Amino acid sequence: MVNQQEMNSITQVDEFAEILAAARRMQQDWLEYGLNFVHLYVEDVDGDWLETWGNDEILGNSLLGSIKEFLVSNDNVAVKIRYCLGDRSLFDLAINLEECLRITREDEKTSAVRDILARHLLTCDIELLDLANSLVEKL
Amino acid sequence: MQAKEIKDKLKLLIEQASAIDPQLSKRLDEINRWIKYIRPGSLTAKPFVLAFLLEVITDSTIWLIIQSLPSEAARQAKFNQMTPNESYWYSYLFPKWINSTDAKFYIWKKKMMAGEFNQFDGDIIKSIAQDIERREGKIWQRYIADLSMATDLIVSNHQQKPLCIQVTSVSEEFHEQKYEKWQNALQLWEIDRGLFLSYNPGESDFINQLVNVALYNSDHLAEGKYLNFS
Repeated sequence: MVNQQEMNSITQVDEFAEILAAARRMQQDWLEYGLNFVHLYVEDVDGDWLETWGNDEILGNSLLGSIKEFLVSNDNVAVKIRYCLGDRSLFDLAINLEECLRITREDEKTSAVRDILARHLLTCDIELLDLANSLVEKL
Repeated sequence: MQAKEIKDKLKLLIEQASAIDPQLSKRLDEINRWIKYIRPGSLTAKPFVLAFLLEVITDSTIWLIIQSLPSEAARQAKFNQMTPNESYWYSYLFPKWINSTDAKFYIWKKKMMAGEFNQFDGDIIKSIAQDIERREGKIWQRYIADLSMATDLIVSNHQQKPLCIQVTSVSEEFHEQKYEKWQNALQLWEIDRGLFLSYNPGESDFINQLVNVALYNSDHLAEGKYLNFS
């Protein structure tokens, strides 16, 4: 009779062999069908799953909420950003800023914010890095 | 399976990983959070995101099984059961991705959210991969490698030495800058050799030619070399 430890190790071997075989099978399916291989695995590829992905979470996203609140406020940095943004979407900017603000290293965070500002703002007469620095401080 | 089940699987993995590899848990959690912001605009966006998720879920599961093993010898035994390409991916590149800095992680997140998936290149890459397998070489294709490591395929041949390759059309503008960017990306990820393959879609037989170059260099390209072939 096998003991518990041996039993665990047998289960693990099976699980590993199974998942590695699944990874290989998926690779073969990609080789045969290209990107369309996903239809072999997922029934509702074209359903609304992507549009509704965050439905149960988006309301609880407090960081995004506070960024949006700041961007529409009378703070001089927010006013400046809205002016430079022109008629582009404030919501899109907020979403991208949220991603950057989750970056843990300060220098990387600021340069990511600067890149986002460069992408979203039309014209700006002040240095983007300064603007990014002020924004990171205030958010 | 319904697409919604993929989300459930992802959430389950986030939980499981938090005890075994918190850094992987963080990565998966980030993916879960930013997927909701992808614009479903282009026709290929949904299949692409699903292919990416299926792959991430499979790879993370493999990684967690290996990480839960009690000893280094036991982990090594699992890598030994893999082909050289798989072992290179699961023991070297995938953990690098898990532990990459936030800035590197951000690059591909940006690409994916912008919907930068090129179906035409995808078909060329698939044809190259099929040809390599027909000629008994081995390939490993990973969306993570494509999006973040400038690698369309990992190829190996007789010597069983995995080689990262990127395929691009010669007609593209800024070819030289693209090559430099590619080389920088590989060095950033500490991929010690690579092949940058350019093709001319107007030429007949170009797939066969690219496959010859890829198979030959997988066996012979020296370490530290980033070959630009056009």
